[in-house]
Amino acid sequence: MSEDKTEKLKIMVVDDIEINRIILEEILSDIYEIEQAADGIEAVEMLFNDVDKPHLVLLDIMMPGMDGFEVLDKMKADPVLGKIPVVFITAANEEVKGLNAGAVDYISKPFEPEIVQLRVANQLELSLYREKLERMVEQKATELVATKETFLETMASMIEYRSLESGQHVKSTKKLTGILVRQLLKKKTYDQELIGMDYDALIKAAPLHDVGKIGIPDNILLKPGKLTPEEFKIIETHTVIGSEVIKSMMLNSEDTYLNHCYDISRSHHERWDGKGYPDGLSGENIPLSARIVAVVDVYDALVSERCYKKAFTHEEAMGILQHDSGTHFDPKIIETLLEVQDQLIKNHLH
Amino acid sequence: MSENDTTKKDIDYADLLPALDVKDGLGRLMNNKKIYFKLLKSFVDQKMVDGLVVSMNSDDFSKIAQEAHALKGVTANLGLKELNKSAVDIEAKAKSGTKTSELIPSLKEADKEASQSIDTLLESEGVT
Repeated sequence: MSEDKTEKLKIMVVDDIEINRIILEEILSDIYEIEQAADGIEAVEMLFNDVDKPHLVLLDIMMPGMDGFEVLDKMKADPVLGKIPVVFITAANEEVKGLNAGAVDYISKPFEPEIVQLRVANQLELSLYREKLERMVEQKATELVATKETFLETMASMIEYRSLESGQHVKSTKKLTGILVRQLLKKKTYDQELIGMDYDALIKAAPLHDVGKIGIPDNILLKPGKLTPEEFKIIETHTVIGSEVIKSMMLNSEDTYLNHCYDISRSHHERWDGKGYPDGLSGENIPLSARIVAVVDVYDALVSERCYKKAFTHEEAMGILQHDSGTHFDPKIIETLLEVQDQLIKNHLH
Repeated sequence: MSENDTTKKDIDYADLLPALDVKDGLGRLMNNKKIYFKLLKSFVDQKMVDGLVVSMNSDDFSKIAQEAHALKGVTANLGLKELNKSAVDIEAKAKSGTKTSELIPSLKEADKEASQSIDTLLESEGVT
């Protein structure tokens, strides 16, 4: 039942009459470690201040000063203490009130040793089992989230492979977004907004910006020469396609990570001056996540070799980006980019 | 019957009824005589009954009920049956807001019997 084979489980006995505490200790001390509290106030103090919390509390109801119900209320209000099972020591007629207040069981006076032992053992087993289950669920949930994110990133890499790019762009985008976001936080630019929008999720979502390219035919996507206006229009749809793909994945609208994926994939080609696509948003109406990724995306494209162009140098890329600050790009973000150039260069060399 | 110590003590224990039910009280303490006797002595020393009598002479019904309740619990746990009955009655009366002073004589009587029984027991067991 218990994972502590070497250590005894700890039980706190709370009763204002010493004789009662001694009797309970006598009944239970063979199997458990017992600590005593003489009244509600002492019990609450010990519960909140001791590092080793008891695994179960035997709580008398009628005590002077703070009674058992008050102690129970205080315990339930605390996230850690609220999980400790409480067994009431009750006179008749208080069982319903006690169970309603959150106690898991009760024993009555005079104590019957076997009943006390059995009830305590049963409640401890239940409580430990529940704790174990909760831990397992939490672990699985975390694994699930990680799996989902890995899956989406893999998907983004696969889509990139289709354009015969090396999969490097996906990794680079994430790294560069991270560098830029951390500098924005450091210099307190858009920092409140970033903190409020879970910037970790934002960084993880950045690589998904071109997911929509899955819907673009090869002959256009991989064309080495210049694109015709019609072909441009088709390429531009990768923003809308991408956002639709993400939207179809959203089971509930509260998934921050997917919300960022949506914003970024849809709006990373919007321009600060409103002349971008697909929605013609301008200025701070463009989601912050998209404004950041727009800069990152263009920088990385510029300094990388592509099927339609050679690689620019870092200085050339910075020149182009600065030139378009305030028109294409958010000027504050360009300013921030200038501050982390050495990190950009270092990243690119890998 | 066999003359060993256990049988002799069994007969003694029965003599202490109805005020003190040793078998009952001991059973509750996992038959640990040492602690049981210690608690009985502790009970006598604490003079819970005296405190209750004082309260019963007042009109503080909630105090009387609380103290009678405490006495009820302890006496139940120790096997002090007559005192327990007394405490039950006093608690009930006090909770209903009725004066309890008329129950004082029977309480004192029960207390006297209980103390005598405890003294007899502890003496025969050689507990000082």
